[in-house]
Amino acid sequence: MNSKFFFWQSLKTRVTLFTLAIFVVSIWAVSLYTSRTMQDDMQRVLGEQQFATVSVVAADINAELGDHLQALERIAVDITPAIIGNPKALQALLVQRPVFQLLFNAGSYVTGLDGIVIAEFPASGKRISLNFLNDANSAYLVEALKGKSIVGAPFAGRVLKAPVVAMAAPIRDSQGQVIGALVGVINLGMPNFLERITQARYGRSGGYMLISPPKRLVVAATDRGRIMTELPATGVNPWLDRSMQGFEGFGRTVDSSGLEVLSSAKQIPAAGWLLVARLPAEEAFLPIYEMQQRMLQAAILLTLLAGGLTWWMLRRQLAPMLRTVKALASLAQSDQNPQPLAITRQDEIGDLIRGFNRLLETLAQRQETLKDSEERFRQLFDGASDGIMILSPGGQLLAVNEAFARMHGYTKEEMSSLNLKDLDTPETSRLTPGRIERILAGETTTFEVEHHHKDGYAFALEVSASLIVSGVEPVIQSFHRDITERKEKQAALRDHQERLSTIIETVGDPIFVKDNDHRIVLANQAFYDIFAQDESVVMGQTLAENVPPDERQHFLEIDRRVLDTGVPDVSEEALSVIGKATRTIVTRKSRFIESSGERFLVGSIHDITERKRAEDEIRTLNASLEQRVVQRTAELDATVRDLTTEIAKRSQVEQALRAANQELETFSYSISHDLRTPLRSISGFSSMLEADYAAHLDEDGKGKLRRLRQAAQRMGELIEDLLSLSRLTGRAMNAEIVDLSALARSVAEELKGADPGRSVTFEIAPKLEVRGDKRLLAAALENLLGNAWKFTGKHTSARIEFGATQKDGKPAYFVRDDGAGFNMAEAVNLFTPFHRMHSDNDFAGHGIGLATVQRIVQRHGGHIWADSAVEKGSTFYFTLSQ
Amino acid sequence: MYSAPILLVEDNPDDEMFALNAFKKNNVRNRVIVARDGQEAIDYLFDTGKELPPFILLDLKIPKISGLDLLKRIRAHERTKFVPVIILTSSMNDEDLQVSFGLGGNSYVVKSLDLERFTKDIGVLADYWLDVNILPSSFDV
Repeated sequence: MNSKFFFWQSLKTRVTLFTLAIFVVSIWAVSLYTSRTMQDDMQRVLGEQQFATVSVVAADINAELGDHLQALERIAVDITPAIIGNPKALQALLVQRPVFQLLFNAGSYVTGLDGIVIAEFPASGKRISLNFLNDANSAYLVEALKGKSIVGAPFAGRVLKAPVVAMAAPIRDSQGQVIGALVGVINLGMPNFLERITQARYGRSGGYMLISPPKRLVVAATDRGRIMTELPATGVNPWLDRSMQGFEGFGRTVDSSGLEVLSSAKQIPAAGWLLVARLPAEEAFLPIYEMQQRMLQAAILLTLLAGGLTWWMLRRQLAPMLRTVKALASLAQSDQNPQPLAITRQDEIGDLIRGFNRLLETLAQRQETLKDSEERFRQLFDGASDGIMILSPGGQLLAVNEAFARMHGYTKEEMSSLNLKDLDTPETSRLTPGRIERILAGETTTFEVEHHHKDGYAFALEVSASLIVSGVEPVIQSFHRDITERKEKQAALRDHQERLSTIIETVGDPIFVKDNDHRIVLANQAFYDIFAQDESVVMGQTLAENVPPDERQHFLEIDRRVLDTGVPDVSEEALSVIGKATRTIVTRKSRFIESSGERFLVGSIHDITERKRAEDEIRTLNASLEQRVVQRTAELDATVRDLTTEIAKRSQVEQALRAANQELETFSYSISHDLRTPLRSISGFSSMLEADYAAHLDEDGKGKLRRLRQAAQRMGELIEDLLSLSRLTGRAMNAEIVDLSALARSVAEELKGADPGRSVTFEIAPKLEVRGDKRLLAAALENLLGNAWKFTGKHTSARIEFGATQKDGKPAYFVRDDGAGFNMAEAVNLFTPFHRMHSDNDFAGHGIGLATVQRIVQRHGGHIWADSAVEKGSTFYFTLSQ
Repeated sequence: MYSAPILLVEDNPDDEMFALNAFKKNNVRNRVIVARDGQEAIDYLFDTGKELPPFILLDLKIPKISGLDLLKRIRAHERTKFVPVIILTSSMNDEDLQVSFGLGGNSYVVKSLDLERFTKDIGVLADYWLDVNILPSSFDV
């Protein structure tokens, strides 16, 4: 349960953290301030302490140096010019001063004004006769020879090969003139009075350093390694630089090795040196650092303690409030009436819960009131006869009432999952977004829509929609009324008017409606036309002014009578619209009374002017026509009678002809058949004679017998031809579509095949199709093409053509050759059976072919003719239908 | 080889002579029985005492019973239904010739004006029906 109160939002967390923050900041501020102040104080104290120490040591060293110089000066007084002149005495003088020798561990010596050593101690003889003025470090000697006692700068001794410091005092004569110098040398590498510096430490790791400023040389130092070393150049350590220039005091600085140190400096006037004490800050301020650490630990400890306590305290103090929050949360979730919350304490939280309880009480009362109100509204909502819908701006149906669901065929529950899109027809759906936008803009609109019923059909609704802004999201409330019936009535009315207007306009006759004051209230185009007026002019007018007074009087009288009595009237009358010819019209007028009680006159005009005129003309015409008809009829009767007689006659002749033809066919068949039998006997017996009795006959007899046989043979062929002719023409026709070109080609192939030696070109026009008997037409073409083939036989090459041309507007087919031809004058009996144009010797034949062709052509209702000249070839034409 | 007499049904004596002449010229040794009309032919064929001819040479234009009727009766009779019948016709275009094949005619010979041709045709058919076309042994019922 606590987990969520660890979050930032939790009051506990925030108070705890805030408290902690104040605490931590305070503690840390105090500790930081304290440590800082303490550090400053301590630095001052330590610095002052250090400076004091350094001052004491410096004073000590200064005094020592003064003692050394004093010692030199006292001995220099002892040295008289006489002694100087006597090196042995001088040497003895120096040796007799042992205390003096103790002061200068590197010995001492005397020079003359020329700088040459006269005497020395200890008497090693190494320095005697050396001129120290030639030495680079002889500044001290120069000063002494000028008459001044001096402590020289440290340098590397020429004789001792060790760092040394020389001190010198002038030797004067009785007049005070400088006659030489006494020099004492201290070997810094050997124990000397500066030992107290080199052996003393400052603190645990600090130390002293004696510096000779001119060359920045370290004369002596706790760190012996630094003796005779040169200090860092000017600018590296500002504090040191300041001290070199005469500053005395302490300061915190960083030395050349990067170590932070607390240093103090003090001048040593006797030698112009500087004494510096150094203590690393780390050591100097160690107590402070330790104290700071302890304070930090204490601060952390205190912080944790304060945080924990605050947390615990808050949790304890806020527990009742959290319980209340939980109770309220569960109350909000449940539907039960709010129960008063338990009050466990009398503090502010107790007051708060008491306040909640009062609020809950008020809330319960209001809820009750709201429920009543809602119930009333719900009844109103569901009881409404109009369909009500609450719609989200997105089109979702949030709530609908019973009427809305009913008119759409759904239950309310089903509708709750629908979107407006599910109800809108596509046409309506297209307009919906725009409407919703307007409503959302605050407009209250009324419009018509079409919705789909659950059963699938669409129906029209009148919608009044408005925006309701309450709660989180604005919603759209709309009222729906099913206006299908109204729409149907409107449509029916519109249709009715449309129909009426169409009827009125369609009827060619002028139609009009007048009110009780003869004013036109409705009319059609024909009516406007007859009065030569526009609709705008006619409406509301009586039009009585447009006709002459007598006609006007007549019209209005009839109008009045019909309007008053209700008895319809039909009158033929003249209409003389001013500016137009007088027309004869038939006007029908009747009355109708509207449901309002108003009376109207309906009239229709039928213009009979033309009819009248036509009737008159017809009457005149009829009179003369009748006369002519009688006359013509008589003539016709006579003609018809003549024709009938003629037709009867012809029919008789034709019948007789047909019978005769038939008889002739039968006769020719039987006669040819019967003729064959005796002929066979003649032929047969002559054959037998020839075969069996040849030995009894002489050549003449044999020849005659042969001719007998040939004659019989020929007669047989004639009979055979006759028979086939009658067979061809005697049998029934079988009409079909025949491709003459194909037939001609097949005949040509046959002819060429039978006599391949000949050179004949056939030219056959393609696709000549006719209706006829295929067998007969094939026979006709066989004969014609066969003839052409035969009569071109005497020519080396020939050309035979089959084609079509026109004869009297009908197709005529022809077979043309370039053969022997014939004399047209002799062609009278061309188509008579057995008539021949050529002798057998020239062209063999029976003279039956063309007769056959003619019979075939005639049977097809056509005729045949020829065109030819001797040696110019022949052309046979034929037609096939009437 | 059948030795039984051949039946010639022919009323014209000239044609009879040409037929006999043809048999002779082709060395057909069988006796030839000539029937002058249909009735004679039937009498001979249905007489069980007579041998069945190896073939019948039948002219269609004969008196009393027409050639076609005779053919019908030959084919209808149990005794004669397998006897070969050669039709004699004056023309190949004779419509009766076509009918005769429908009624069971086996071969035909045109009575040509050319006697040599006629003789040759008879010879070929006689050879066939006498020597080549041997009927089954159960034929003689």
